[in-house]
Amino acid sequence: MLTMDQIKEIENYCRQSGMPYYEVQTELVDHMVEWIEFRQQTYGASFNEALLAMQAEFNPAALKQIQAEKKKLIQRAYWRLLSENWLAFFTLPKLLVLICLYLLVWLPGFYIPEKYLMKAGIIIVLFYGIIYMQSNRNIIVQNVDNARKKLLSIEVHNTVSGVMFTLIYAPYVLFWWDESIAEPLLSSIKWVYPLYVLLLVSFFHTQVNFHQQLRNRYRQAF
Amino acid sequence: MKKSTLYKGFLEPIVMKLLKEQGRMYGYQITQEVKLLTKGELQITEGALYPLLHRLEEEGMLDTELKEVGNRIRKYYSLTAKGRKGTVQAMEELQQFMGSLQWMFQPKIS
Repeated sequence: MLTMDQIKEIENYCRQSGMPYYEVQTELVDHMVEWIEFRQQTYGASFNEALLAMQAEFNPAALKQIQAEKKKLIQRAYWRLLSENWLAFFTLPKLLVLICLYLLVWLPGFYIPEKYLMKAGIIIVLFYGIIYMQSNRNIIVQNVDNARKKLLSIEVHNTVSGVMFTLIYAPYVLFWWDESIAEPLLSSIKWVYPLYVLLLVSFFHTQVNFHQQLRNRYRQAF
Repeated sequence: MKKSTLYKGFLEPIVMKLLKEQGRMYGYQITQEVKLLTKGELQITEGALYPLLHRLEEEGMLDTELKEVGNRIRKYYSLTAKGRKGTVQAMEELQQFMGSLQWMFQPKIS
């Protein structure tokens, strides 16, 4: 049986070969350990001899390929579950509440300048964001813990969150940076912006169910 | 044509059949069992096996379980209810395919 130090050496090889993610690394390390132990028992090879042979067998290109395929699968699963949950959110009672909310955001558009409307929208989104983070702090703490393990799934999650964060704040940053750039958007903003805000609010609500399902289904990832 | 190339197309049903028979298995064990089953004709590479296992897991065909074994973590795969149904279907398709092959090549061989 290999010692902890020898297993660490195999883990280091995986990391150096460009496969640092926990979900893929754990099972590949187990595979490599079995491979080495077999050579030691069958051919009487020393650990170093078996390690060298293993490195020739498990070359970095093959390891990276396994990781790339896994990443694609996680991305696909992530987007599919996210879209399923998002669509399932729009039930009839929720749609009625959303229409009322839409009107609430839309009506002031006739009385206040568009740029203030946009700021109001951002405040609503921030408000929902804070409520979401507060009510789901356990999930967030778990994500922070998992980030220490360097999970591939967390990287996918962070990428999607990054995209959503950019989508949320891009119009505001654009407006704040140079109003003249956003000028052509102003005429349509009072129609589109409430919808935009509502989609974001529904996105926050969807996250809770979505994360629970994701963890139930992919227990080793996330 | 190398025999291993012929076997490669059947990797998915072979793995699923093995899992059905053995209950739960881990990656290295599957490679060894496949080698044994095919009398060494098919030696699955990790680059072929793990993407296949991950895809089947993502499709809900396989369930996974982590166990600590001798200083390291081992990931076991087993068939889900959907996977068991899929295996039966895959075996039926394979039988049909083998029947077609036999029909195609039998007259020429004899």
